[in-house]
Amino acid sequence: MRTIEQIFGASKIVPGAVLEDQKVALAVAGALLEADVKVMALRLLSRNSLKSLELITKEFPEMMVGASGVMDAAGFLNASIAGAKFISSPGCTSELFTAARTRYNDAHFLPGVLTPTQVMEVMTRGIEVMNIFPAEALNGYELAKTYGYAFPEAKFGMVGGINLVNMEKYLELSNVIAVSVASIAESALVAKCDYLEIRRRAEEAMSIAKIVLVGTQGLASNII
Amino acid sequence: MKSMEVIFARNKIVPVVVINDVEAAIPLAETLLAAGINNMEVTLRTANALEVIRKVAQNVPEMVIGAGTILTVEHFKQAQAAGAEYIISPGVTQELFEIGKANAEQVRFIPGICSPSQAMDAANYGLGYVKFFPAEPYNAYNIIKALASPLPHIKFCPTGGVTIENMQKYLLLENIFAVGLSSIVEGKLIAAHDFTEIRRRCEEAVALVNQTLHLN
Repeated sequence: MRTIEQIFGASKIVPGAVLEDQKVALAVAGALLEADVKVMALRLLSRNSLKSLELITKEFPEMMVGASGVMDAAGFLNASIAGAKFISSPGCTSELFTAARTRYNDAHFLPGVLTPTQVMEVMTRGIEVMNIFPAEALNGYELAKTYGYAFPEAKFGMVGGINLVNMEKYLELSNVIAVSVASIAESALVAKCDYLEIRRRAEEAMSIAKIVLVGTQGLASNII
Repeated sequence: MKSMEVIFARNKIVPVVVINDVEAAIPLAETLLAAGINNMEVTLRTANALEVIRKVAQNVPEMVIGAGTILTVEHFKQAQAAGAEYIISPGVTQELFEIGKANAEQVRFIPGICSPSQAMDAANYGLGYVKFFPAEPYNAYNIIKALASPLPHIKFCPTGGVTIENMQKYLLLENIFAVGLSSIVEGKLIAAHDFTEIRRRCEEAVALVNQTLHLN
């Protein structure tokens, strides 16, 4: 099993999408791969989302597909059986922690956190990577920065309201390993089957990430 | 053991220290004292933090030494054994509340909170002094102000993003007992043994506190 850092890769860009139609799902995944994006998060809305997840994983083994918006143990189990490489939830509940423990060989669990107390709870359970959600709505950048100081071992995914315009600041933080960008494969584009625009946005995200990556290379990880 | 009232009566600043160099421990403590700050929170973020706490506790009796970034019961015990007089955590867990309660006669536990529920949890464990962390990202000024009426017995120490530039608004709140500042004891200044600059920043902060609260 790949580490979570390997899954998210150096670019940290993770496009999120709702893909209920299997044909569309494959086309979106293909468009992302053409932009050299090899990871994506599917929001689990229904059995169709699971089918899309399964199909993309089968057709594009190089694409690391994760499931987001998982709420309970049943959802966790379904997502991991469908082949999700990582599973994220908006919050953290003991039911999800238990489910994650029983399936730890199949999928990484990224619980959603906001408060220092939640970060501590997650770390107590041996999980060092978690999502800060909702990031844009609640000063996620400042939180991640401050938590880097208080919890040097914790790594964060940033989720919620992040787009091509506001994502750069998150990419710069050394304790942020994933940035969930909702606007790359946003629902309006998916509904129009506008794969060209999805690819263009994915390419733009990757080029922003590359610039940030070069800029932060060699800098100390100290973000106090 | 000194009470919280005594420790923080004139001491409205908690310097949040990241220090690994044990040799710098005593000069740092003496610099803070000379600037009028007689407590320091040494965070357990470095390999030698416990040794620093031990050294200050044994050699600088006028300094009230505290431990910060306490995440687990094990940290709590280590910090207490090293001589910490107060122990601060970034968040609250049941097990930290329990060990804090069990050792309440020996050491002061200051839990980190950022919501009304967490402040109530602290109050239910008999803790009236809490750290509000992280302050600036959470709009702590507005929250602490709003909590004065429903939770009149709780006093806060906003920490996280608080600087000399923005601390005045917090100092004017009735229900704070101190503000946590890391910039006055910046890690690179300690590493460089630049105690002159540390003293300058600390004196600046103390002067602003005294001016704001009309102390002297």
